[in-house]
Amino acid sequence: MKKLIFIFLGVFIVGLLISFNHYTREYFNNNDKIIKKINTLKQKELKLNSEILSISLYLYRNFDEIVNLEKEIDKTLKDLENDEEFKKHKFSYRYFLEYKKAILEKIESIYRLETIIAPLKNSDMYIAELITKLELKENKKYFLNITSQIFLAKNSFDLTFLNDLDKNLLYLKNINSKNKFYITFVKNVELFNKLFPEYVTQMDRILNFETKKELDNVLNKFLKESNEKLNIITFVSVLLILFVVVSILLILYLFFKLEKENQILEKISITDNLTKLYNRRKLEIDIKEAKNPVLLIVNIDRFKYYNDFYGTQIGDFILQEMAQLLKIEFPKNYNPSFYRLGGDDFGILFEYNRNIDLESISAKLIKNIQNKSIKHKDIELHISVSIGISFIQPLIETADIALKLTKKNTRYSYSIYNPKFNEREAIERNLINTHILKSAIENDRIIPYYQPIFSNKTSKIVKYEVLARIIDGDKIMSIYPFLNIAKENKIYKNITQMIYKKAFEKFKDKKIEFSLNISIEDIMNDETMNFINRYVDKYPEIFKYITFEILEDDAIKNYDLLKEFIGYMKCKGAKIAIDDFGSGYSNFGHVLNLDIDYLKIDGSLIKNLDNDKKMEIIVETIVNFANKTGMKVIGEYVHKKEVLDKVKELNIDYSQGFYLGEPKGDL
Amino acid sequence: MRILIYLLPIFLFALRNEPITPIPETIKFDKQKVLLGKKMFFDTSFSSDEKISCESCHMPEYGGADPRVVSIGVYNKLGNIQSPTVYNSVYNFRQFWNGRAKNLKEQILGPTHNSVEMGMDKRKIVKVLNQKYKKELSKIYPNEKISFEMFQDLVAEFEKVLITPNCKFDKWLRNEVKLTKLEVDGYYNFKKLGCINCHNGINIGGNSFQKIGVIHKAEDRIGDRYEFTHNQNDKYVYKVSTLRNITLTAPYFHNGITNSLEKAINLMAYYNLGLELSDYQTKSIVAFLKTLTGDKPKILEEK
Repeated sequence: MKKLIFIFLGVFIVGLLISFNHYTREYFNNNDKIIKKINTLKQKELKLNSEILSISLYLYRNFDEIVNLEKEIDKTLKDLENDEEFKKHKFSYRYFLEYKKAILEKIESIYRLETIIAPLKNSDMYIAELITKLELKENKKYFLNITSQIFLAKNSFDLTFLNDLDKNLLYLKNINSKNKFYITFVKNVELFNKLFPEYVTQMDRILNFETKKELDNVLNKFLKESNEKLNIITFVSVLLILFVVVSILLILYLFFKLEKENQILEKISITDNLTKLYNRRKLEIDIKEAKNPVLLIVNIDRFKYYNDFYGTQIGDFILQEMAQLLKIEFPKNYNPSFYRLGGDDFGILFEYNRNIDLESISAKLIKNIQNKSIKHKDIELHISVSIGISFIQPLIETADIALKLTKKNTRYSYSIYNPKFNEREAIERNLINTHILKSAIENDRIIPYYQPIFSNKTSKIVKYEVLARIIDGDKIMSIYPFLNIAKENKIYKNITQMIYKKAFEKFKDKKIEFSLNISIEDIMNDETMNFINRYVDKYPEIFKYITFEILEDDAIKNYDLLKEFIGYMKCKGAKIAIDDFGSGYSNFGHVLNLDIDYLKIDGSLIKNLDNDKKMEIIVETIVNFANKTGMKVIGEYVHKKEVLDKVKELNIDYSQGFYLGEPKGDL
Repeated sequence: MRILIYLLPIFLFALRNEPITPIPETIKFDKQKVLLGKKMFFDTSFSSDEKISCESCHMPEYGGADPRVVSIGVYNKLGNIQSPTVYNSVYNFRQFWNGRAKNLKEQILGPTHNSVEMGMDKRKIVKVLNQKYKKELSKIYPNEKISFEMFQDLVAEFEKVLITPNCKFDKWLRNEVKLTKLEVDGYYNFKKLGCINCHNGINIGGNSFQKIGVIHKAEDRIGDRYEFTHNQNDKYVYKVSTLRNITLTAPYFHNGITNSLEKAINLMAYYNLGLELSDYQTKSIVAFLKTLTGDKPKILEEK
C-alpha cells in the first residue's frame, strides 16, 4: 500500500514536471510570438510615418510602399486578432482591438491624403511653370504675390500665409482673361486654395494619431498580464527546486540510514544477543581469515546445575558475567576475540606463536576466574571453568574434543587437542551402536543368555544369572557397551522388559532359581515396575525362585524407593543381591540398611585374587562382613582353577565364571 | 572574388531608380488550384442562364478586359460600368473602380452575385461545384465540405497568376533594352506633366484613389467611391486604373468614353491638369504607353 502511494506520487510528480515544462515552454513561445508581432506593428507604423513624409516631400512618389505596408500590417493584425493565447490576455486584447480600429483608420486617412496630395503637387508645380508663360503687366504683383504665398504656405505648412490668397484670387478672377494659361493658372490656384487646408488638416490628423501610444499600451498591458502568469511559473519553479533539494536530502538521509541499519544488522548477525560477544558465525568467519589461529573453548562447570537450581535468569546472568570476566582476565596483548558459541561455551580466538605458553595462560585464566565471585543480589557464586584448546583445524571441533577430554579427566581443568584423541571415532561408534540397539529392539533381537552359578560346597549349579545379549546379523554380543546408549535414548526399559519377559516364560515351570539384573533406573521407571507387577499377578510362584541383582551406583539417590522395592519383592518371595560389590560406590552402611540376601563381589576384586594379597584382604573383609550380617557371598569372574581354589579357600559361598560355565542361550 | 566585387555595383544599380517597378517574371502559385480555378474562370455554369463566365467580361484577347463600353451579363442585361482588366489585378491595392473589395477573393463576390452580371448566389455556386467539380475539389481539399470559399480561393488563385511580365518598359527598367527617343520623351513628359503622381508603382496606377476632374469637372460619376462610402469627399473618386496593357483594354475610363488612346490622354490632361497637350507630348506619351504591353499570361496557354 505504502509502495503504491510512493509510485503514484512519483508518477504524479513526473507528470507535473512534464506538464510544467510544456506549460512554461508554451508560455514563452506564445509570449515571444505575440511580443514579436506587436513589435512588427510598431516597426511597420514607423515605416508608414516615414513614407507619409516622403509622399509630401517628393514631387512624385511610388505609392506602392504604403500599399505593401498596409498589407503587412493587415496580416499581422489578423494574426493577433485570431491568436487564442492573446485573447486570454483580456485587457491587452481589448486595447489591441482599439488600436486595430485606429491604425486601420489611420491607413484610410493616408489613402485620403494621397487623393489630396496628388493634385496639390501638380497644382503648385503648374503654378510655378505657368507663371513663366503668362504675359505679366501691371498685375504682375498679384501673380507674384500668389505664387510666393503658395510656396510659403506649402513649405512652412502654415495656413496663415494663405490669408491674403482669397483677396488676390478674387482680383485675378476679375481680370476675366481668355488666355488659356491664365485660366489654367487661376484654376490651379483655386485648387490649391481648396485642397491645401484639407491637406494640412489631414496631415495633422495622420501625424497625431495616437496609435503608437495605444500600441505601447497594448504591449505594456500584455507584459503586465503575462507577468501574472510568470509569477505562477516562478512560484512553481521555486517549489520544484525546493522539491528537488528536499528529495536529494531525503535520499541522502535514507542512504545513510540504510547504511547504518546495515551496519547494525551486520553487527547483530555476528553478535550474541545475551552476552554481546561475537557469535559462532563470526568465529567461523574469523577462523577462516586468521593466519595461525588458536581457539580456547571455555565451558562453565556444572552450568546446567546452576540453571536448574537458580533459574534461567541467574543462568543468563552468569553467562553475561562470564563474558565480562573472560574479557577482563584474558591477557590483552594477544589481541583476543571473544565469542559465545551457544549454551555455556565461550570461545577465545587469537593468533598463535611459539612464545605463547598456552598451558600457563589457561591455568592462570581458570585460577583467576575461580577466585572471582559472581554476585547476584544475595547469591554469591564461585564458578569454575574447563577449557579445551586447539590450533588444529577444524578448530571448533577439535577444541570441543579437547574440552570433552577435560571434562572426563578430573585432574586437569584444561587440555590441548592432540590428534591421538579418538574422540571422533568414539562418537561414530556410538552412532553405529545406537542404530544397532534400536534396530535390535524393534526386531526383538535382544535375547537372554544364562550363566550358571555354582555352590562352592556342593560344586553344583544352584541358579542361573540371566544376561542380555544383542544379535547383530550373525554376531551375538554382550549388551554391556550398549547400556549407556540405552539410558541416553530412554530405551533402557525396553531391554529390561524384553529380557524379563523371556526369562519369566523360560523359568515359569522350571522350579529353578535364577537371578535378574535390575538397575535403579528400572526401579524408578513406573512402566517397568507395572510390567513386573503384572508378572507377579501372572506367575506368582516363580518369584520364590528369583534373585534381583541391584547395581549400586551413584545414581541411587532415593533409597526409600529402593527400600520399598526390596520390601515388596521380599514379601513375594524374591531374594535381593547387590551386584558388583566392592567397586566404585559400594557402601557398607547402605547395604546394612537394606534387607540384602547376597553380596556379589565385583569381578575386578576376584580376577587377580590368586596373586594379589591386597585383593585377598579386601575380599576377606567383605566375606567377614557378610557372614556377620547373615548375607551370602557370590564371587564372579572365576576364570581359572587358581581363582576358584582361592574363592573356596576364602569361604565365598557361590562362584560364577567362564571357568565354571559360560553364558549360553539355553540352560 | 574580385570579379564578383566589380560586378556587385552593376547588380545594385541594375534596376533603374524610378517610381515605377517591373512586374516579376514569375509568381508563386499552387498549380493544382490554378488549373482548377482556370476551368471555373471559363465555366459558364456559374451564371444563372449558364451563358456567362468570368471570361465573358475579362477576355484574354482584350487584355483581360471587355472591349464593350459596358459588359452584357445574364439574359443580355447591360452592366453600368466598363470592365477593368483582370490582368495584374493582383497588384491592385483594392478591387473594382471604387475599391470596394480589398482583394481578389472579395472581388469574386461582386460579379457572381450581381443580377446583371452572373446572377448567382453562394448556394447556387456550391450546387454547381457539387455537380461538376466534386472529384477535383476532393483532391485539393480532402475531407472538406464543398463551400463557396473554395470557389473564391481557386478563381482568385488563377487570377493571381494572370500577370503580364516583360513589357518593353519593364525590360528598360531592368536595363535590358533601350527605349526609342520618342518613348523616352513620352516617359519624361509622363513624369513632368504629373501623370506619375497617380500612375506609379508596379501597376502604374491601382495603388491610390484619385478624383477625376480636379480642374474641370467630369461629366458623370457612375460607380464612384461615394457610392460605396457616402463620403462627400469621395464624389468623382475612383481607384486609379493600371496603365499596363493599356493598348489592349480600350474603351477607356469607367464610362468607356473613348477607344482612342490619344483622346484618353488629352481628356485626362483636360480634366485633371487643365492643360492642352502638344501633339508631340501626346504622341510621345502614347509611344511610352505602348511599351507597357507585356507577355500574355503563360497560364492561358496551359491546359
